[in-house]
Amino acid sequence: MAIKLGGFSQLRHPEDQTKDFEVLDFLELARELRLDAVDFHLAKGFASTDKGYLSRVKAKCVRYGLPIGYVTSGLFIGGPEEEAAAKVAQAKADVDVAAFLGAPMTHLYARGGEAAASTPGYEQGWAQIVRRCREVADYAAGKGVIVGVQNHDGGSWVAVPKTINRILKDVDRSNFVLILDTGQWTDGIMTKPRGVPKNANPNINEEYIAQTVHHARNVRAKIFNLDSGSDPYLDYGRIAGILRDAGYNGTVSLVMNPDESRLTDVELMRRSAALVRKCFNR
Amino acid sequence: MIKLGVFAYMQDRAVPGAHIDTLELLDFIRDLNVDTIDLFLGRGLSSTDPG
Repeated sequence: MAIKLGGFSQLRHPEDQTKDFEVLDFLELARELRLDAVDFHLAKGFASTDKGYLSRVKAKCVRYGLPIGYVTSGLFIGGPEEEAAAKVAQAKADVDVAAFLGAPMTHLYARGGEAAASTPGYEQGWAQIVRRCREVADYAAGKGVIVGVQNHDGGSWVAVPKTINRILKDVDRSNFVLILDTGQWTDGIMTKPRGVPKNANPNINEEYIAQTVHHARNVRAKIFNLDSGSDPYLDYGRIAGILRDAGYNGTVSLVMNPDESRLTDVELMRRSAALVRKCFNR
Repeated sequence: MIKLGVFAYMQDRAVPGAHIDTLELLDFIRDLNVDTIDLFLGRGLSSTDPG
C-alpha cells in the first residue's frame, strides 16, 4: 500500500508560542518536510475564510504539490439543543470551505454535553448528535464532500470502538466516515493522567486501532513528545504494521499534542516526520 | 515528495469505442500503489451527476 504522509496545520509559532503558526507558513514547512498531503484547522492559523484568502492557500497547495485531506474548525457537534442550529451552521460552513478548497472531507468532534453512558439523558443526547450529523452529512453530500467524525477521550461520545461502530451505523450516511486518531481513546494510556495505570492493558491503543482501522478514511498520527527519540505512549512501528496488515491506503497525518514536549511545535513536527516516515518506509 | 499518479483512462478493447468504467478502474489502480489519480470526464467517468 502507498500510505501518504500528511501534516495537520495546528501549530504554535516557533518564536512566540502564544501565537498560531500561519497556514501559509505551515505550507512552507510541509514542503520542507516533503509531506504528501495537508489537513487544515480553520480556527488556528487561518487569517480568514474569505474566498480571496482561501484562493491564496489553495494556489500555494497546488504549487507545492500538496493535496488537502480535510478541513476542520474544531467543532463540537454535541451539547445543548439551543446551540444545535449554530453548531450545524458552522459544520455546514466548514463544508463550504472544503468544497471551495477542493478538499474531499471535513472533520468534527462528537463532543459537547454529557457523554457518560450511565448518565440520565444519554440516549437523548446521542440521538441529538445523530440527527445533527445526518443534517450535516446530507448538506455535504450535495456539495460532494465527506464528513469525518474523530474519536476522542475527555468527554467525547465517540471514544472507543463500540461507540465508533454505533455512530457510523446510526448516522447511516455513505459520506459519514471515521477520522481515526491514534492517541485519543477513553481508557487509552495517554488519557490524562498519562502513563500506564496499574492493571491497564498496555496494548489497548493498538488494539483499538486494529479494531477500527477498516473504518478509517484518514489517520491522525498523534505525537505527544519525542524527547527520548520516540513517542512515550504510541509505538509507531507497531501502528505501521497494523495499518499495513489492514490494507490501509490513505493518509497518515502528523498531529502535534505538544504540552509535554520541550521542543517547539514546528521542531516536534520535523522530528515526527522523520520518525513516522521511517516506521512507514516512506 | 513526488507523488506517483495515473490518468484513469483505459479503452475497453473488447468493445470498440468503449472505455473501462472509472469505478472498476479504481480497484485496479489501488493495486498499483500509486498516490493520486486524474479523471477523464466522459471517458470512463460515465456520469457527472452528484450521485
